[in-house]
Amino acid sequence: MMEDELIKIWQSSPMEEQIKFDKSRLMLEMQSSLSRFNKLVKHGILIEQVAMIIAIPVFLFYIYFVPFVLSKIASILIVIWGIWYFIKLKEWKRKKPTNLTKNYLDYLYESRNYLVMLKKWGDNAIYWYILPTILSVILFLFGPILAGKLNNKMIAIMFVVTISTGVFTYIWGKWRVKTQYIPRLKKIEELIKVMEE
Amino acid sequence: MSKELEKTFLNALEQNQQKLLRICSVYAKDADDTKDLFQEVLVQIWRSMQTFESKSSIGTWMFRITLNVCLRFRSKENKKQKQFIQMDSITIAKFIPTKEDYGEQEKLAHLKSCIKKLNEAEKAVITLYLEEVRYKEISEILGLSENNVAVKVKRIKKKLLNCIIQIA
Repeated sequence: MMEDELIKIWQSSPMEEQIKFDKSRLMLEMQSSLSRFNKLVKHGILIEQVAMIIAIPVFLFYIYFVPFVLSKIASILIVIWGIWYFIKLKEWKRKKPTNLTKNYLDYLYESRNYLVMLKKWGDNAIYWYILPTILSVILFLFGPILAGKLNNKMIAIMFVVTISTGVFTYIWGKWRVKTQYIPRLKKIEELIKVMEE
Repeated sequence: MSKELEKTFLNALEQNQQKLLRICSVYAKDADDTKDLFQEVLVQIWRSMQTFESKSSIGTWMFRITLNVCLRFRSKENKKQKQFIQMDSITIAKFIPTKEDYGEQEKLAHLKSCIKKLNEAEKAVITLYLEEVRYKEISEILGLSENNVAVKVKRIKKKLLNCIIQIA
């Protein structure tokens, strides 16, 4: 088979499928599907941001109105952490590669850098996400516990719930890194290698 | 978005639809996947229309977006989006070949199955080559030097020819 025949064979496919457009309808559908799509894309980070928007005022309220000193200190720590996390979420959102008009190799580099960053944060989630929140909540609980305001059953339930949440978040984070970030990163690394060789 | 931009989009789409669909078909698993991917490509092209500058031809620019969308396309994720992206204004009808067409269709099927065996970066290079995009433009779309493109095309063509001979 001649090499140029490849092009001929490839271009014989226009007859294979026939595309038909209803132009005016297409434009209307584009507009509406796009706005819904944009909302969907922002979904994940948005949930976390909304959680922070709710949590920060709640713990600010606790700083003033909870009578226990340890709980006040814990609330201050949670508010500081919440603000920091909210800023981080905004930063991640900004760094997400959305510019599809870049050339293929640059898009691969950008996607790789973004995934490396997410993986790094995912790997270290125990230090910046799980431990600070769980320890702050435990510190918060020690306020009423030391003042003798909670019975043993309540203390046990609260500790079990807090620690279980921490363990679940840890496992879920590890699962996410393993199933979502690492395979995609591997694939992108391979593609970059092929492009550069 | 302005009427002028809308017109540019529709004209460019009419000129390039078959080419874009062919590129999508290489990255998709089956016909349904191809349609989903093609729709996703259209949404992303439409979304980026306002950033289009006439530095390169609109066709080249569309290829660039198509390849980047194909790269990040995941069927599973797309199924989630499917409830949001439903464009009934597009219909892709299967062509029923005549007896004379069967020979060509068979060759095409062989070529497509061989292209599907390539990795995604090689698919990008070869589909652009098969669409008769010039090396200079391919290098702009992919971010490689022209020489590198030429070397890759030569290497991939050799792979494809070997694969087709084996199948045939």
